[in-house]
Order: sequence, then structure tokens, then C-alpha cells
Amino acid sequence: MLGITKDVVTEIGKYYLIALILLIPIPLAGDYVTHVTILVMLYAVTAASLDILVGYTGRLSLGHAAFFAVGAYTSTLLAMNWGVSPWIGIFLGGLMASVFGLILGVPSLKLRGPYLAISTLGFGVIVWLMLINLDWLTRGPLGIPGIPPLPGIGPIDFRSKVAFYYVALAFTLVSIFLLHLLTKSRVGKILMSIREDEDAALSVGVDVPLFKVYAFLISTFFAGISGGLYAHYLRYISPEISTLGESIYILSMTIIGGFGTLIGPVMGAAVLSLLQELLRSYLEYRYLIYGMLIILVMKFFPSGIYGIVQFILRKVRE
Amino acid sequence: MILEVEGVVKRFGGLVAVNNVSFGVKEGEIFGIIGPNGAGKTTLFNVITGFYKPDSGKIRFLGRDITGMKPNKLAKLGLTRTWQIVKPFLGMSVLDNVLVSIYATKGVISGLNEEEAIKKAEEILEFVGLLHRKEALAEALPHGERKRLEIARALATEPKLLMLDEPAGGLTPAEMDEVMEVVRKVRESGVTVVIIEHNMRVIMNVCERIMVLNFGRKIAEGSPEEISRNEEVIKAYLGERFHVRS
Amino acid sequence: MVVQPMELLEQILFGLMIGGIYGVIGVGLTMIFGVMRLSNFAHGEFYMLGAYFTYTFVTLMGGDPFLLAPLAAVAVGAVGIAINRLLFKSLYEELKEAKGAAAFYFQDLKFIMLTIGLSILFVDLALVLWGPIPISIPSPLTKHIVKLPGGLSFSLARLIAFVVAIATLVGLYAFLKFTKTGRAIRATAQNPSAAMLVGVNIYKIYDITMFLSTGLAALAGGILGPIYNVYPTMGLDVVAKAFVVVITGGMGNVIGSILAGFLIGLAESLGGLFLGTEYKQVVAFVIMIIVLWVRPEGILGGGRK
Repeated sequence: MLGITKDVVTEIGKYYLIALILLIPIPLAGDYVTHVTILVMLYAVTAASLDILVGYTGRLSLGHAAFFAVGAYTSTLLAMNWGVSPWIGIFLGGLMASVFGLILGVPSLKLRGPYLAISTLGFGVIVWLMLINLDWLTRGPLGIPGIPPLPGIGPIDFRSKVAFYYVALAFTLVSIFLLHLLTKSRVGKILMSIREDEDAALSVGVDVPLFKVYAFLISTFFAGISGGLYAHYLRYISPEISTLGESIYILSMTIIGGFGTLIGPVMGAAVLSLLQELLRSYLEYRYLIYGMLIILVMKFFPSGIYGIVQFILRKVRE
Repeated sequence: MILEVEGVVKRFGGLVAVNNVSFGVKEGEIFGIIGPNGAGKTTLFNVITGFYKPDSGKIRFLGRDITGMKPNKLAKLGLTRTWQIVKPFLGMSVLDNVLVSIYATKGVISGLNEEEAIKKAEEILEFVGLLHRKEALAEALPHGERKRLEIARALATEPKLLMLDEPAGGLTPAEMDEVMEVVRKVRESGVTVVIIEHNMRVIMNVCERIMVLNFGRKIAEGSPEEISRNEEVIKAYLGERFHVRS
Repeated sequence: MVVQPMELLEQILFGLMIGGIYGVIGVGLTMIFGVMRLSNFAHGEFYMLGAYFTYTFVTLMGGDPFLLAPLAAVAVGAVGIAINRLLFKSLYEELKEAKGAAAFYFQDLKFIMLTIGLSILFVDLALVLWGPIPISIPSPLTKHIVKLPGGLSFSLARLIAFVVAIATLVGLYAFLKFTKTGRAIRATAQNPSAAMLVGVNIYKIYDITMFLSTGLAALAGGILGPIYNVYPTMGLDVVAKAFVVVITGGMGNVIGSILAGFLIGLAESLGGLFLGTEYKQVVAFVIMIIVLWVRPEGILGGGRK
């Protein structure tokens, strides 16, 4: 199917098995570590989903937080106003994010480079302003507290961090595995050909606009689902999750991690989130260090953390 | 006639880049298009292959009107082009470069299964003499090999008509001979070829019929001998060079 | 909603004034895009630095901020040149070697991330140096009120800010049009390799462009400092708007940006009046998105793609 052979599945699959085994005991480290890991995992999926656009298709997006927020608000409002079960609502939130992805993706098909970056930035700002101003629906800047948690299954209560952790873990590994397979599939190769040269791709028969739209749909869907899980985990959301700053935060995970590698953005999410936690005590200088780090990585290691890790592994082997 | 071009006009603002050009290409031949710099060759190429829409005129391929049809549709119908400045997918392997063409034209979900697709890609790489480089990234290839990869990628779309934009441009004489050998083999396999070229040696050697453009107009058409004896061609094309020398 | 004619006139004047400032900020942003293909997401921070430098000069030396703002602009411009040489120069050289369509994309990505890093760094630097509390730059001119016939009135400071903005734009236009350096900048924007062939030192041109671009943003910050509050994140509030102006005017198009500045300023003012202030912010972005979709080359066409 889609050119994904059994070999590819087993080759990638074993890494996910290892990751699963390593991540299962995390809750033993206590509530704080569990909490941080949950957030890292939700960011990791969002950053990896953005990589499909930025790293594989060559479509820069500075508005990805908007899709995360659309997912979060959709699932929340469905649950609170119509009593839709969050298990379904989260999925519908992903679909709604894809609808928004379509609204942004189709008209901006012809835009490239900085034009696309700024058009996505503008789209993100518009979504943010809508969340603030449509206060009859979203309660405006105050945000929505008291979001219902994921409904329990039998004796399992997902208000507990540990229980939620395993939901997030399953979601994260499955999502990233699916995205990873996508990049190894025929679709992935076609998306890469668009990144490398749109005109050349057209000339060998690639329906470039159609595949760009696919990339938008897939990427925004996973961002939307992450947003939904986030909402039902923290049980409070506000327009803050859709700001330009938040979009830039996600984009820097993707790029600092190493765009076009899928696993790089996951590393980026982990490193940047942990950095935020570690620098908490240097509150004042936190962003000074963060900004400096971005500049240094871009200047000296443009292939990102993934590139650095590969470089070190190669040295070690030698 | 596999390709029929009728009264094609393409303007850019006030400039008429292609002015009322008509010609036909017979099935199985190698057809050359020449002309001095700025004669409108590449523009004509872009119009035929769907990258530009003509302002007027008709283009028929296999008897079907393809005027203004998108390049990706044309590739699926069997009309594929290469680029004067080669555009390999630099960050992808040589094999993947060719596989993209197969996926795009045969279908992503249906079409060949993966083994068949790879087998086919390898056959094409063998055909252009690049099989030993299949694992390499395209950006690691020297210019001559990139030119052959460009042809391989186009062949993987299974064209009935292959349009080559200066396939010998920027090559050493040895590399040029290799590429021309590939072009001859392509024709022998039953594919019709249209070539734009600057290099007269290449054109005169390989083409059966030639059309000459000057200032966007067609000024002559015929066999290489006819063209080399044509007064107007000598004046417009060859003449300017002789003139400068004398 | 009933709108009084006076209210309308007031909003038009106000829109033009803000538009002039948008023009000054947007022109700087469009110039470095046109000349170096650099999308500078730290542009707002040079505007912020201009305001803080002016404030520091006023507290250190005394004197009126309107006189010291140009000095601050020169200082920030020097910072701009330093950053250009330290961070960006090697990227221009890389791109000269690069082949393939994706190389331009990777270049855009690097520029965008580098300038985002700069933006984050500068905001925190301002926080450390000047603190988080909004300050206002003292100027006696804010207390002088100019009265217009019909009951309209506004502060002298606003009027001066507007005059300075217009004078700057006219001066910049004359500089680009009539001086040798200006012509070299325009030649580089159109075709860097051709400019190099005729003897233009493009790296010097890049330095000059960076100086002008960051200096203009700083000047805008300096002259608005006495009118609005000065705070570390003020640049973030402005940068998106500056990009709206640049896109609407056509990226790289100086005249386009100036016109777009006024257009956006007016549209916001009138949008605020007719739609209510909560939608004032949306107006600019909606205009930009329409322009991008209908006429991506901007109202006057892009200077360089």
C-alpha cells in the first residue's frame, strides 16, 4: 500500500517498540516529570506534523498553532455545549483543523517562500483574533475553564496524570509512526519532489496543487488532534494557545530539531521544552539563552539537533 | 503526425516571443528546433509542454487538442519534457528521482507494486548508464550525469514524445557523445524526440528534420542539408557569425 | 451606526498619521527584502530599540526626544550593520554557490529562523536592561495642543511625528532615485550579479541597506516613543503589521510600501470607527490576505520575486 513494504514497517517499527519500552516507566518518576513528558509528547506530534509541510513539502508555515487551537476549541465546545464524548470530539477537532487547513491551503497554493510564510502568519493572527472576539462562543480572552476530562473506561479515571499519560503515549507513538510511514511512502517521496523543485515535479506528472493540499490536510489533522488532547488534559484553554509566539515556538522545534527528518522535530520538542523547564530559575535570562541557542544552531548546525546527534554517532563509531 | 502545432502566438507585454508558428512532428523521428539566442525556442517549448498558455493557436498531440493543458496531465498522456538548466531533485537519491515519475504517472495507490516499480526504475537507470549510482544523492552527481538523470526521469513517465531542452548544453564533447547516444537509443525504442539545441554539430548529426526560428517566427523547415543551404537561415543564424568574423 | 462628520474627519487624519509611521517601518522591511531577499522578523525589535535608545539618550543627555531620535536611529543602524556582517554575510555567499530551487527555500528558512532568534534575544535584552514596566519618553511637545477649525485638536507631538515621517519618506525616495549609492542599491535589488559586473560592491550595498532599514525602524520607534508607551514587546505588536504593509505594497517595492502604509493606516482607523475597535486589528490582515490571493505581487507589483 502506497509503496510501504513490510521491510520498512519492521525497520521503523523496532525503534517505536524501543521508545515504548523506555517511556512506559516514566510515571514512576512522579507527577511533575509525568506532566512535563505529556506536554513534550503533545508538542512532539505537533512539531512532527508541521515537518510534513515545512520539511517534506517545502511549505513554510508560521500559523501552525492556529490548527492546534482549532482542534482544542472544537473538541471543547462540542463536549461542553452538545455533550459530545471527547473521544469522538478530539477526532472531530482534527477534522475541523483540516477544514481550516483547506481554507488556508487552497488559496495559498501559488505562494512561495516568504509570501507563504506571511500569509500563514496572517491566517494565524486572524484565528487568534477570532478566538478573542467571538466571545459568545469562546468566552474571549478569558478562555474556557472546567473542560470535561476524557471519560473514564471502567475503573480508569483519566483525571489522573498517570492514566492520561498512557493515552498520550499511545497517541504520540501511533501518530509519529503513521507520519513516519507517510514520509517513507510514495506520497512522502512525491511531497519531497515538490520541495526540491515544483516545476520539475510538474513536468514528470506530479499533480503539485493536489499533493500540497494533501500535505496541508494531513499536517493540520494531527495538529488538531494534539490540540484536542491538550484541552482535555489541562481542562483549560484560552486564545493564548493560538498566538504567533506559540506558532513560532512550534516552528522552532521543527527547525532546531532538524526539519525534513520527522524524528528531528520530536527531538526539538523534547530539547526546547526541557530547556524551558531548566531555565525556569533564570527567569529573566531565559529567552536570552533561548534566542541565542536558535541563532547558534542555525548558524553552525543548520541540520539541527538531528544532524548533531548523527554527527556524534558517526564520530563514536569511528 | 504525433504533434501538430498551429499558429501559436505567445506575447509577454509588448514583446511577441512566439509569432504564429506552425509545424508538425512525425511519429518516430528526431525533430530539431534551432535559432539564435532569443529566437523564442524555449518559450515555444514552454507553450507546448503546458508551462505557458498560448495567446492564440492550437496544439494537438496524438490527434487530441492539448492547448493549455497542465504539464502533469501532459506527462500522463505521454508528452514529457526535460529542462535546459537541469532540475534534478537534489536532496533525493537517484533511484527515488526516477521512482517519483513512475508513482506520479502510474498512480500512487493503484499502479505498479513496489517491486515492479523499483525494477522498472532500475531498468531505466541501466538504459542511461546510471544504475551504479542509484543510491547516490542527486546532488552528488557531476553535470553530465545529471543530464542523463534528467532524461531517465522523463523516460520513466513512459513518454510517446520526449521534448529535450538543450540536452547537450554545458557538456564536454565526451559527455555530449554519451548523451546523444542515449537520445538515439531512446528513438530506437520507439519514442519520438524533439530537441532544442544550440550546438550545430549535435543537431546536424542526430536530427532528421529541423525547424529554424528567428525573432519568434519560423523561417525554415527541412532536412539538415536543406537547412544548411537555406539562404535565409545562413543570413539570420549562421550569417551573423560569419559576418562578425570577416 | 451614526457617524458624525467630525468624527470621520478625525479618524481620517488619525489614520493618515499612523499610516505615515507604518510607511516608515514598512519601507525598511521591504528594502532588505528587495535587496537581500531577507524577511526580517526582528524588524520590530529595531523599532523597539530605537525607542529605548532615544529614551536612554534623553535621560543621559537631556534634550527633546524628537531631536535625539535621529541619533538613536544611527546607533541602531550601526547595530544593524554589525548583525548583517556577523550573521547574514556568510549566507549570501552560500546562496551564490547554491543550485536548485530548494536552495532558496532553505535560505528563506535560515533567514526567518535567525531573525526570529534575534527577535527573542532582543526582547529579553530589553527586559533585562530597561525592565518590563512600560515607560513613556518625556517631551514637552506632547502638552502643546494644536487646534483645527471645527473643533478638532491633537497634540503637537503627533503633528511633528507625522511631519518627520513624511520628510523621511520623501528624503529616502530622493536618495534612492538621485544619488549614486541609491542607484547602486536599486541595481543590486534588480540583479545582483549584473550590479557586481558593473563594479558595484554588493556587500557594501547590503551593509548600507541594512543600516537604512534598521535605522528607519528605529527612527519610527524614537518619534512614537513620546506619544505611546515604550515596552520590551512593542516590536512584536508592530512586526506583523509591518509585513502586512510590505505584502500589500508588493515585497521589495518602496513606493508600494509607502502607499500601503497609508492605506492600512486609513483602513484600520475607519474599520475601527465602522466595525468597532475589536475588529480594528483584523482589518489589516484581511486586506493582506485578499491582496495575497488576488494579486500576490502587491498593489503596485513586487520589486523582486
